Amino acid sequence: MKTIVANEWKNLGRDKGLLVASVFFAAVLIAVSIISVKEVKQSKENQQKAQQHMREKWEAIDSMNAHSAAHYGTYLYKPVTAIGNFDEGVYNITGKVLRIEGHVQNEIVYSEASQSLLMSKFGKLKSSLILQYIIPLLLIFLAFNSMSNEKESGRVKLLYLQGATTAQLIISKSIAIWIYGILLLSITFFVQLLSLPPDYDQTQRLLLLFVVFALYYYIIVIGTIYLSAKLKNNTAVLTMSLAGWMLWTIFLPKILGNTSEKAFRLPSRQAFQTAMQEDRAKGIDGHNPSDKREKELKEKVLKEYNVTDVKDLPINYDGIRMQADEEYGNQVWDKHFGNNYTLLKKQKTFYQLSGIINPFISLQNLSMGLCGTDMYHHVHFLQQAELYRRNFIKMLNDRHAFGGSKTGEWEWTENNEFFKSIKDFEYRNPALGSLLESYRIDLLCLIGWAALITTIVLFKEKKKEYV
Amino acid sequence: MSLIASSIRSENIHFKRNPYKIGALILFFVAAIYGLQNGYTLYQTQTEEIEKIKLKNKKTSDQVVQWFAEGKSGPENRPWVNIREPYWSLWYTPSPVCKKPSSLMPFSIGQAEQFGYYKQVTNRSTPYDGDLAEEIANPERLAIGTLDFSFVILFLLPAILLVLLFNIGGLEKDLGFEQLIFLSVTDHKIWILGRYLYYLIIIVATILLTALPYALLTKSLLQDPGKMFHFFLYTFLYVVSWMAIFFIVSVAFSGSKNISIVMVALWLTLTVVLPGTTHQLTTLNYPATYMTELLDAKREEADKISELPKEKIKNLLIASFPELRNSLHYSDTTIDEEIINNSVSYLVNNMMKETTRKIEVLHEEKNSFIRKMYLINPVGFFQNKHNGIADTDYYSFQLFRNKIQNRINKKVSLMASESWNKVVVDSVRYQHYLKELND
Repeated sequence: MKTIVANEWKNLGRDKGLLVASVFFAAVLIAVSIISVKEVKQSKENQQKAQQHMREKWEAIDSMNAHSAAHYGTYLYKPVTAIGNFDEGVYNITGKVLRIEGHVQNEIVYSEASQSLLMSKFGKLKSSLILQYIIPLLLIFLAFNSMSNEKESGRVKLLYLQGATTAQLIISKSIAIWIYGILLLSITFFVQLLSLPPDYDQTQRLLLLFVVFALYYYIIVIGTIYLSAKLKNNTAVLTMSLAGWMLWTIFLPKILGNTSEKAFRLPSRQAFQTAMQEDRAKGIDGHNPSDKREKELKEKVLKEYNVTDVKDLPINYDGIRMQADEEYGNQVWDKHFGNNYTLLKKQKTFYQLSGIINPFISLQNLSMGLCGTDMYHHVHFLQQAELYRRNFIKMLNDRHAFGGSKTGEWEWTENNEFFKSIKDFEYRNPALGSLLESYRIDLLCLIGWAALITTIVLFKEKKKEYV
Repeated sequence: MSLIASSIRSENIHFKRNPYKIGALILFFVAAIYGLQNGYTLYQTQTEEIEKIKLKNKKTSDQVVQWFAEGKSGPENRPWVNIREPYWSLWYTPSPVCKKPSSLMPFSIGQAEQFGYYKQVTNRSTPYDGDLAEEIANPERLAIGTLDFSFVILFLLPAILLVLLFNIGGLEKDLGFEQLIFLSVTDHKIWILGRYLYYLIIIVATILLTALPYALLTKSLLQDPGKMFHFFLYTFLYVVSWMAIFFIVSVAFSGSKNISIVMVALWLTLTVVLPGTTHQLTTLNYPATYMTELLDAKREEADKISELPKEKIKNLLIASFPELRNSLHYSDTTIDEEIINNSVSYLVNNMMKETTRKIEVLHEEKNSFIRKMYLINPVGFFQNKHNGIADTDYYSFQLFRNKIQNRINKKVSLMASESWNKVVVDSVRYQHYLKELND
């Protein structure tokens, strides 16, 4: 087998066209990686500048009523990960700015996609675009005639006479072309590795990404060479391989994505908001209206402080009431956001399972996931932001309630030190371990595809001879 | 002519005998129907959602009319509301602005899924509010995109043409009777052209066959014949452009393997690489904005106006809204703080208009760059032409934002003038508000 691999490499080396193409692709991959790194750096700087600007505004509050500060609120900005330059995933189409304030959970807004005319249906020219779409095509072009040429020229007989089996030929030729793909892959990953800040998690993600792409390339190469062995001529192999590539990479992802959304329908924004408003007014179970809840709270607080009127309370009842309303609102949000999240997860699982028929989907999912630009990271950011909002508003409401003012004293203000003491939002990506759990299906699909084709080649082509 | 006619006839025989080509055409047909159905579903969903909004607003306005009839001043749990005051009456006047989907939406979904298409306008609204976010959707699905009719035309069609055309002229070389063809036909290029024409006829017929039922279903053929004509004209130009490119390849290269490799490389370059490059270059030159100026204006500058002395606010209002000089309050010697407070949104709106104008200018610079890049991104040109005709491009949503701004202008002007004229609102006046603030 080693001899066949070496021989294949010799043949590849003799191909001047391939040499030119290799230099071209290497240059493109390096250029695209450098440009993407630059773009992400620029985006990160802008995001940090905006975040810092808003923080400065918050810290500049000299004196303000705590509840007014809750309405004044702040803004959080969705960060971009260093490795995000490899695959931008959903980053371009999701909002980047989230307003944090009392009483309401706002939508994340101002996506890049909504700020201009449409430019590309497949996203920016990132490393992922080249490595997911173009390099596999190049590998197909390299692989499609590797067995059929042997058959057409009659060299295959010679190889059989020398003791090689069809399975050995397919595997060896696959390894040879796969190594070529790995070399192109290594160029990108080397540039990426150099650009990464010293971060263990990001490096781990990048290395895993390398493995995932390597697996996909193996599937593409061995699949094409297997077809090359099975089909009668070069044209048939090329037609079948190209048709498969188009179906896998261009059409099935869209069709399956649409199907997943139709199978698990999300509510419209209007329906979602109406349901939230109703729950907030009537109670989650429909039997606990807001005025009843407030009455119960008032009685409880009065009893606790042993007074009969809120005016006699040593604390500010308004703060307690507002915090109770917040907490109730949080429950309502958890219920409805939770329902949506469940549906989104079902859609995602459906889409992941389609990796059984299309390994490109598994590659695409893992690429986005490992780069931190998938739906899970987006939702994780939203959840962390909501958690921050809850603590942020609770601090303000607690201050309103227990900061020294009495019920109804809306003119009472807090000083700058208090506002400065509220910590800024810091977002951290979920750990790789928890992420892998969500992407088990995709990993299994890729491994399964690689194992299945190898098994078919090893067992079905063991004794077959194409003469 | 006879050579073309005979080429078309012989290609017809070849096509009927080739299961791959028939399969490719069937795939195109199915994908086109699937794409049209996707667009039609979105068209129906948006139409239904707008109807639901109208119904909800009707309930709100009916409730207010009932309050007037029963002599109530507003909802029982909001004792501070008095619907006889213009401020509250206008607050309770539903003022929706909806972007009705174009009847051509089934043909090109475009950017319709990236923008909100309805908004309830209040006196504090702006065209860049958070409630104008896109519909709740799976972000990954949005990133992957929808397979709509326009996608089928712009991306699948060239691939189908590739399957249909790659062996024209090349197969003869593969099978070794190329020289025989050269001997039997007077002009090799005309012979290839005739075969290409056959597929042009088939493709155009398939496009019309799939699109026309949907054009009738949404009545776009009757309501917007001009737009439909333009859509098909651009589609036809696009198909012909690809055929011309492939024709050159068929003539310049020999052997179906070489022809197919060049065709695939061209298809990939034009549909994936060049649009991706344009996108990347645009982002580098015009990074996405974080709207900090807008957010500052909305949160702080608005407050600063409200905190100004009432006298100053009054003067500012008169300066920017001269009609107020004819109002009842203008001649009052003392300032009615409530009237001034109820009119502040007029000034805030003016300030916000200036901020949003700057944002639109920034976006326009970016769009202008994108248009310049059409030279290297021709697929982008056709894509945005399709979207523009179907009212699903950036500019259609900019028009929608303008409509929102006009509605805000109307609302704040009414709020100020009615408050300054000390109007006592009754049911008839409320109906007038409804008429003014609804389509």
